[in-house]
Amino acid sequence: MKMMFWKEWRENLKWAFIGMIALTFAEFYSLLLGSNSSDDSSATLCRSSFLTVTTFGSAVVGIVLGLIQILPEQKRDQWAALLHRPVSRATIFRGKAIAGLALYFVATVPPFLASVWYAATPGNFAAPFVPQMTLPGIFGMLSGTMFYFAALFVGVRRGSWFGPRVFGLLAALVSSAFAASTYLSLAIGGPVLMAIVLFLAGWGAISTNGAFRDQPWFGRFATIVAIYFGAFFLVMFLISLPFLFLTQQQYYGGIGYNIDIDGRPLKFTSTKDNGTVITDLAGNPINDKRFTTGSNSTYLLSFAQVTSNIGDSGHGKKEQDDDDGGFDYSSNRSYVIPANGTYDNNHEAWYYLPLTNHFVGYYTKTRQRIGAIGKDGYRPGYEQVSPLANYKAGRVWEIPSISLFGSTVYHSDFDQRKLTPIFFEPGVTVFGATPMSSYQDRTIDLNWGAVALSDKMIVIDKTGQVLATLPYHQNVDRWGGLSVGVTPDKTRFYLRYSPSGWIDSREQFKMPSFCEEMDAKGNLLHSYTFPATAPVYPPDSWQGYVMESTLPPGVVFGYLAYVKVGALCGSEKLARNWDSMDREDSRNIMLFSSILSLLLAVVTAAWTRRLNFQSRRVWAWTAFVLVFNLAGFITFRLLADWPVRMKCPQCSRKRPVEESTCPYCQAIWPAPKPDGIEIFEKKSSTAELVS
Amino acid sequence: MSLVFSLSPASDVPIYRQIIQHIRRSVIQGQLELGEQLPAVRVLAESLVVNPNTVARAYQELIRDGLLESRSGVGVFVAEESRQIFSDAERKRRLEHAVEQLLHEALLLDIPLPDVCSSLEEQWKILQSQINSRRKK
Amino acid sequence: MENSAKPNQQPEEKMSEPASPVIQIDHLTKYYGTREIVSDLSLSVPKGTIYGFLGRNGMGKTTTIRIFLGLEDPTRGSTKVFGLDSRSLPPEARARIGYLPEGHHVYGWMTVKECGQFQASYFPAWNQDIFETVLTHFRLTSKMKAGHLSRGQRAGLCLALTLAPEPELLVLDDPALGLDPVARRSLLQSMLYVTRKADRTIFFSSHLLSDVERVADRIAVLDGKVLRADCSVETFRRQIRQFILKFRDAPPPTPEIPGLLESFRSDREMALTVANITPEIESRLEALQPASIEPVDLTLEDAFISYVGERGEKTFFMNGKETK
Repeated sequence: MKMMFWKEWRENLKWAFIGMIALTFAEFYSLLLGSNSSDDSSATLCRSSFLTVTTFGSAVVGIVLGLIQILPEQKRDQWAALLHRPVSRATIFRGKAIAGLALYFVATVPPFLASVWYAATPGNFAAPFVPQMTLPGIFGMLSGTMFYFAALFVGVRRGSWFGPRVFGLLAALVSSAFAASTYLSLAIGGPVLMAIVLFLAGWGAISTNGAFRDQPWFGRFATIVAIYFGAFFLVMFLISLPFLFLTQQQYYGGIGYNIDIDGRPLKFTSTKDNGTVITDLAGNPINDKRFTTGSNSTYLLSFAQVTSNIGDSGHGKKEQDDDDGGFDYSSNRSYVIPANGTYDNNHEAWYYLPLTNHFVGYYTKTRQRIGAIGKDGYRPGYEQVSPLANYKAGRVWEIPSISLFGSTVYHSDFDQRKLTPIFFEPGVTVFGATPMSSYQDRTIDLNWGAVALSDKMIVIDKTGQVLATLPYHQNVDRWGGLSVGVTPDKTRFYLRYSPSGWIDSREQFKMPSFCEEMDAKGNLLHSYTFPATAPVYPPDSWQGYVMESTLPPGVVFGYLAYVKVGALCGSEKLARNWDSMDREDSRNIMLFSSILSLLLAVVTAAWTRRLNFQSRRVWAWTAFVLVFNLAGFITFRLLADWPVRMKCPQCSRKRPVEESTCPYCQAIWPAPKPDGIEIFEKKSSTAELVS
Repeated sequence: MSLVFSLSPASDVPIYRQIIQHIRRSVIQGQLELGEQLPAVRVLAESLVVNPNTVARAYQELIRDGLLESRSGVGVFVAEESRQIFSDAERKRRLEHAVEQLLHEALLLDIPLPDVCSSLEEQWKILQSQINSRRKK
Repeated sequence: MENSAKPNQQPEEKMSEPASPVIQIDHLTKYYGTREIVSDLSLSVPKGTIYGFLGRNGMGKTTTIRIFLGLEDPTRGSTKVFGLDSRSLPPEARARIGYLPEGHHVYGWMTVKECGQFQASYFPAWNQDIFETVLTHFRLTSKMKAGHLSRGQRAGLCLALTLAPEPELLVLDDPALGLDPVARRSLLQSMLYVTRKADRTIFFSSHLLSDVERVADRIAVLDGKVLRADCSVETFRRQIRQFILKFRDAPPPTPEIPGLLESFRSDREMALTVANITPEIESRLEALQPASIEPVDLTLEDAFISYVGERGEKTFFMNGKETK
């Protein structure tokens, strides 16, 4: 209704303005002053302090707006005046919701736009602006709408403060965690869905005078979903809470292997008292005075990880999808990666933009852009450059001076504004390239790099000259995690093989790893095998059992059925899931959750019967609790219309006040006794003199 | 013609009865002439701020008593001649009731009967002359 | 209303047909938790009446009103307005009901004119003339800010907002609360104005018995959660009588008679207030052998106070046993 919108708008605009001003201040403060150690200096709109403001601040604005729209009008008579209107309650609610949403965007969008404008305007930050950097802030604002609807729901829902009201807020809180997910569908979908659910729940709440069962079906459904959500996570949280304080999950028995500067393989075993025992491969303890000083690293070789997979893209693709969880929208490094290299950090800052595949540089003092370096070289200012091939790797912390783009290895020299391809052979796939490192000789860090091909590892210098060729002697399909080290005298090279990343981690722990010592020509000098170093997990704690038993059997069985059916239908992914599931574990989960469910369902049935619920409701709630377990039981307790019972004057048993007849003795509630002073007169038809 | 007077709302006399009493007084004292039209029920009700049904009831009782008469389609008027509706016995009873009130008052004031009688005669003469003077107009 | 003597000359009498009641309340019972607020209330309000709803504070009047307007749910029993169940009143029915809740709430930031516009947008039958007439009556102008109005002016504004859509049923919950005498008089006049059109019904609750006496056709009295009276004002007054019994010596103890509301004993007198006097009760009074029995006419307010006040013997202003 337009008038309702206008009224709500005019009434609450001042609050929206206050929110807008507050958010503007907070956002600019975080952009200009606030920074966290986990951010790099290029993080502007993805800075954690900024995202805290956009997410948390938006949520606060949403909550305040929602509550302010409802609570001041909640006094009995004002509320009555509002609801007694010749329009449906749905219309009233929708008018409020739409106006509130508009006000919410008034409060949140302009400050954000101002911040974006500021970050995007050259000269404000010595860092690039990538449009996608606005995404996490946008998601934060979206999730704030969910809090708005939660507050609306909390306000509209009459009744005591605890129960459904609090759990509605809890559900919103939990859903906001989804906004941090790296799965885009969850990050947007989670808050938006919960916002819709809470909107419908508020709609349902306003449509009734307090009884849950009088709500329209979608209101009831939405309320149950929201409350259940909150209850489920509360249960999980409460169960895991004691264990934050009680047990420390340590998996001890950590074993590691390394090579010392003399080329000797060593075995490091950590002991329970946080000590380390150093032995040779056979287990004989080594008494080397050099190792007893503080840091062991100066006497060990440093290994640079070159690849995690060698092989065709079939395996690689799976790794991208599942292991990383996809693109991390809230990390600044998804958009801007600092580039390492030879340049003066005090005057310049260079970055790689993975979304457009080129480098950009900025003057730190003037914050103006120096230029960009792409495939065809350097262009000053804002001139376009052609993109490089994709930078290989998942999450990257920084781009080293020797790096792989596509199948070309480049050396970057930003002082000279040069990006030089130093290794490329047509038709040859390169699987990884990285600078080598050494604890003992810094020149190796600056000048040497390792390049992994399909059959050998090549060591080159920064001009591309080949310094060593190291052919593979192991099955690199399964052991594709390759890393390279070199002795300080640069004569002996060590190639380490660890299990490929595409292999399931549980299987990885059962596989050994290898290390081969070769000379620069690739002649094999020694070959060592390091046995599997499976971590020892503590035995299944009772926390695990408790948590398993609170899982809703509806979900558990549903998921199992989904996987099995999917596997039968030919989905490879689901078939793998089915195979890798721990059979005993799944059986335990099914058993425990079913037992608890059954127990709670019995309690529900008995309780509702004793309280004289109508039998339809008895069945409905019992079935609900059976499927949804403990959290469902909590939801039932919070939402079901609990009948008020009083003593029957006839049979003295408690009977529901809403029913006219007693379920035990069938007596009706007695009429009040007349006490002799009643004055009742029948109505006669009124006769009026018409003059 | 407006018939506004001051109602005593928190009185032990019902409102309709107060209206009746006032109309009767008005007729006797000459503010309402014989044959004069009374205000419509609704008009009087709104000016007195009372329920029209109350006014209607007062009118009806006065019509029944013969003080007022209703002419269909036109309105309510003061009766030209006071018609005697009551039986002799009823008239006697009503008179006795009024006399009793008067005598009670006199006794309380300790006024002897001859003085009461002379006061009665005096008042009667005054009222008659008032009625006659109005008749002449 | 009695019509015992039919006049000889038939004035034009318009008998309204017995229509279905505007408000129908059947065995309404309401609990808040385990607290009973209203117990087995049955009431029907015929079309065209001005119905006064009386009772002490906290006896359930506002709750009853909210329930039959569909703003709260009954615990047991049913209520209907215009023949429709209160719990599912369609918007068209709500457009015919004008509700003025206690408290005279307005949106403080709106001007009088904006209040009118806001309200008018909801009611297709909005009559701007009536709105302005009532405003003028209460000396309100369009530019005034609702938040700056006095209590009486606010009441006038709310009344204007409620009357302008020309509702068939006007429900007023303690409309005169906090009003000065001038505003109260204006309120009464507005209420009577509404009844200019036939078949308009007014249902109002009030504590001002003198106002009730002026305008109400019938009253319903809620006493101790229960409806104890449902009759015309006249009948109510007639049925509650007070008698002063004078004795030569100390009066005897108060007799147990049905319908006894109050008694007051002093040195030589006993005053009894009784509801529903019967010849039998009269003879019981005479049997006490008083020197004289004097009937006293009560004002509506006195009658009402005795009716809903504490029962029993009173000494001066306080309840309780006589202290001798």
